[in-house]
Amino acid sequence: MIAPWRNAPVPAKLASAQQAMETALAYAPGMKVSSIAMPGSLFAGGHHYDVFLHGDTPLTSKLLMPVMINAADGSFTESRELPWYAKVLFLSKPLHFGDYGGMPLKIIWAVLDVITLGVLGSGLYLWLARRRPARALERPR
Amino acid sequence: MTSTPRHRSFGQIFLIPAIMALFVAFGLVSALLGDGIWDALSWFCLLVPVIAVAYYVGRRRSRRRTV
Repeated sequence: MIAPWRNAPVPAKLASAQQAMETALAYAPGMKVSSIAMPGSLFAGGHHYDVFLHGDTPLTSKLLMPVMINAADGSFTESRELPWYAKVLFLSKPLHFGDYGGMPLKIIWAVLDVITLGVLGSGLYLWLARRRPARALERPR
Repeated sequence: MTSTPRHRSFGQIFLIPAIMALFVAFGLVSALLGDGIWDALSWFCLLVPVIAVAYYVGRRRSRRRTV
């Protein structure tokens, strides 16, 4: 999205971040601001504010939508939906950390973790126990 | 196909685990996509394997004591 602006001159005077945020919210009503990347930073390029919006349902609150705002005058430049693989990645984040679905789910998550640890531990024990008598038998030969 | 009384076919062995896997998959996703009733459904579904483990661990313990 920022490639066409690679050689454009950097604006000498910036529009305010407040103005950038308001432009982005007007473009996508009902969404909330997640973060704003300042011009010149890693996520925005030299010529734009990048306002990251997210929705307010359990599903859409995990999905970010970047809105590029012209840093010189605070006007709307471009916005895109995330590609499907990025959506899947964002949606799977709570599956990795187990930090969703309220306290009962977190407790069940912890119990399942302990059960998994038990399977790992008992498997390791069985493997070691099987190797030991085999070595003991080899020695007399 | 039962050559010995304890022999079980592939389907017999994996039918129950497959059903439990469906429950767990549904539980993991339902809490992800919704709130309220979906959270409660996910707690129920994810409790299925926990209860199964607790049941069989408990059964083995009590068997050991009596034998």
